[in-house]
Amino acid sequence: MTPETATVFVVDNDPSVRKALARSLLTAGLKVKTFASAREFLDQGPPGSPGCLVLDVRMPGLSGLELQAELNARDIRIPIIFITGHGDIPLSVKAMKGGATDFLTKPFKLGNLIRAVREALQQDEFLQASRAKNAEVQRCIETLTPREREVLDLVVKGRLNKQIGEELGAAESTIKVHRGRVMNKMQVQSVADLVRDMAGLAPKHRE
Amino acid sequence: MSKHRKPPAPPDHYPHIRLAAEAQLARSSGTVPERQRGTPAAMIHELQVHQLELEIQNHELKRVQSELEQSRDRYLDLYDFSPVGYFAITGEGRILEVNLMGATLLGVPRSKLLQCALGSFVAFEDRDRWRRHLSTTLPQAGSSPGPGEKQSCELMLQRENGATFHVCLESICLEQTAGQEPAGTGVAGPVIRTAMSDITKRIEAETMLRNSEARLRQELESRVRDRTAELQQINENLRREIEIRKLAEQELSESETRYRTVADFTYDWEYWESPEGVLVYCSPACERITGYAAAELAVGREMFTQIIQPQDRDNWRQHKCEDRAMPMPRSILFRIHRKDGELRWIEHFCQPITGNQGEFLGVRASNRDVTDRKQAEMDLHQLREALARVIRITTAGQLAASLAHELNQPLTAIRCNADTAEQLLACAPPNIAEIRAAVADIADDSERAGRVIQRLRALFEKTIHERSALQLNDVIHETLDLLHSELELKAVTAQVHLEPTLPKVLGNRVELQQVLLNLIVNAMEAMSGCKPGQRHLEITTTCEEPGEIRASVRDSGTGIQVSEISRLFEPFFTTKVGGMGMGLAISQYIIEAHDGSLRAVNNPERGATFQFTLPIHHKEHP
Repeated sequence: MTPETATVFVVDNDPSVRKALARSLLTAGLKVKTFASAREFLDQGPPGSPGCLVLDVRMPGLSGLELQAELNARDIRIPIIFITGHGDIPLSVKAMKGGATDFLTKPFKLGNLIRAVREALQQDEFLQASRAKNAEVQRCIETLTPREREVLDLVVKGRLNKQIGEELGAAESTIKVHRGRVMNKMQVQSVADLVRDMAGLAPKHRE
Repeated sequence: MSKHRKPPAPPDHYPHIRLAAEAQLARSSGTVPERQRGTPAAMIHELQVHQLELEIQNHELKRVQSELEQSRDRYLDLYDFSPVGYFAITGEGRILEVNLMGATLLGVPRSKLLQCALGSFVAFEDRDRWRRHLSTTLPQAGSSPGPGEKQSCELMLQRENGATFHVCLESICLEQTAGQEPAGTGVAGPVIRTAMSDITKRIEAETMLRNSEARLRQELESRVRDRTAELQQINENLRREIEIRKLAEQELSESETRYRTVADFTYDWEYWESPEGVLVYCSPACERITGYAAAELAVGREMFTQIIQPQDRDNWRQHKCEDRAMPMPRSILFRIHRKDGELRWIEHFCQPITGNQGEFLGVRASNRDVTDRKQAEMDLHQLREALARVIRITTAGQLAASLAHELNQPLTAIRCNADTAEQLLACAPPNIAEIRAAVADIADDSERAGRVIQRLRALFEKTIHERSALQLNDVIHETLDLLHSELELKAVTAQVHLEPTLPKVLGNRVELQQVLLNLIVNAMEAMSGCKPGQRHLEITTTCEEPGEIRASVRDSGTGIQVSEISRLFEPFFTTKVGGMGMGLAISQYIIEAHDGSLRAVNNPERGATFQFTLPIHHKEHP
């Protein structure tokens, strides 16, 4: 846990809400950065440091949900805690589907917000770690030959050497050699490790 | 007549003669007569007296004879020269005697006439009458003796020379005893004495008279005829005139009946009041409407005023004051108390009546019981009010989300600050400055929340009928405050151009706010399809026309379809899915109830403008 380095980004068009949130988060010992609109937040570019976003759903101009969609589109991964005056189910479902970590209805207990923020920061730390791991796995994958890549995919699917040979039209012994190289290049000791690494990747990277 | 005279009586019967003889003797001898009878002196005296008596008698007789002769001559003259012809005739008509005049009349000498038939002188055509005359003059069989009745007749006679003349005969039968010859006739049987008078002149005169009378009569008759004709003509004219008059009268009466029927059977209560305030006419409907008979109200103007609801009396008196001054028809609405105490609304129309010379003849008025209409109006008003309230609440419902959001923001801030303050207090040492800042923010935000609640409450406020002098600009600001977060959320930019010296209007704040709310919400909806940044709302107030102010709400939305523009203000007309179609209808109703008008036009570039006018409130007419 590194709350001291993580930043809480607050996006709310209401100045007094913004001010109150900033005060309470600061009091809780968190770093806070506030924005009056979604646009303002987007304009600063991807947040360099780990953190989380406290986002008002209903805002003039770009709404909270629209900001979420935009961040997803830009592949900016940051945990979002939605705060809304009118937390109806369709709205919360949409937010959660977009990857929100929490959905708080105004006015909320400060404790609930702090708890949600800490969870989000934890999640972000974990995400940051897995993102680093994935990047490494990705780098390893890129060292594989096309044949080794095919073998990798079938190994991850749980096929035996014999089955892989039949499928790729090669001898079992040949497959065995490929498999040894893949394990080497992917820097894993067991098939279980390999499967876990591959599962952490986003689907598009898996293909 | 002498034949009737009696013979002289013996001397004793004439004592006056003896007395006269004795007196004469005494005068001539101067002796006193011897009173003793038988004495010679007495006897001589007696003889002398007798002698004197005889002499006196003789003298008297001679005198009488001479008198008689004179008398006879007189009578003879009288007889012969009488202007009347006298005839004595037999029962058969033979002439026994005739006087001179009779002969002269017949134109024949008297001697030739005797024994002639008088009838032969009678003109042929009068012979019958002559015979009838004779027979009627003759005594009737069995009648009492004595002279008969006098008979008369008029006859035409003819002389031998053929000349005719007219006579009147008056005949009487003198004797009728048979066998006794009437004196001097020498014949037996009845003798008729006839007086004949010539009446030719009279007859001629009569004839002339008759002729002239006939002429006169003819003349008279002709005149009478003429006059009669004239009179008839006049009569006819009169009759016609009378008929015409009758017809006119009938027509007049019919017309009067017609007019009276029209007046009497009008459903409304009609009356005509004289300049003195007396009811000249009052239709029977009066009783239906007021419960009072016409006569009860005819007492005077005050009685009429008495039945008017006290609050309406001043208006009524004011209205009556203008009777003479205002030549045009006027109307006034007031309430009356019926005789049974029921309150009725009366619509009163009246018009002064003037004569040909323009003189004031009073006032003709018509009173209509409009209680039912008034009740319906009041019901309708209440319904409209209820509907307006429903719409206001519906609009409030539409705004509820944004209002809840607006309320939530300060509440959220308050909650955060309160919790933070609590945490800060728990620290040692507490950061007092930060706590104070948090508490100050709490105070600000709670105030802000209070304002939102206030505006929200205004939306649900029940309309009260009160109207007051309002600054419409203030109402616009209030409405925009209410819509603040909605406008922000819908990315509508609102511009206001309000005339700073806008005069006040007399109005109901809640109602006018509702109109603005409807117009702005409509404008926002019309712009929902536009891109953010192209949603412009413009609210303007101006005071360019005299006596009124104008407010407009202009949007940059889709505008109004030409086919829809005429139906825009109809109730239940809507182009929105789920819209009630009452917003604009109610808005128009509210503005018209404020004596203003509401209309809509499409903008030349894009969008539409809704515009309403309101009359300026003048302080001097509260």
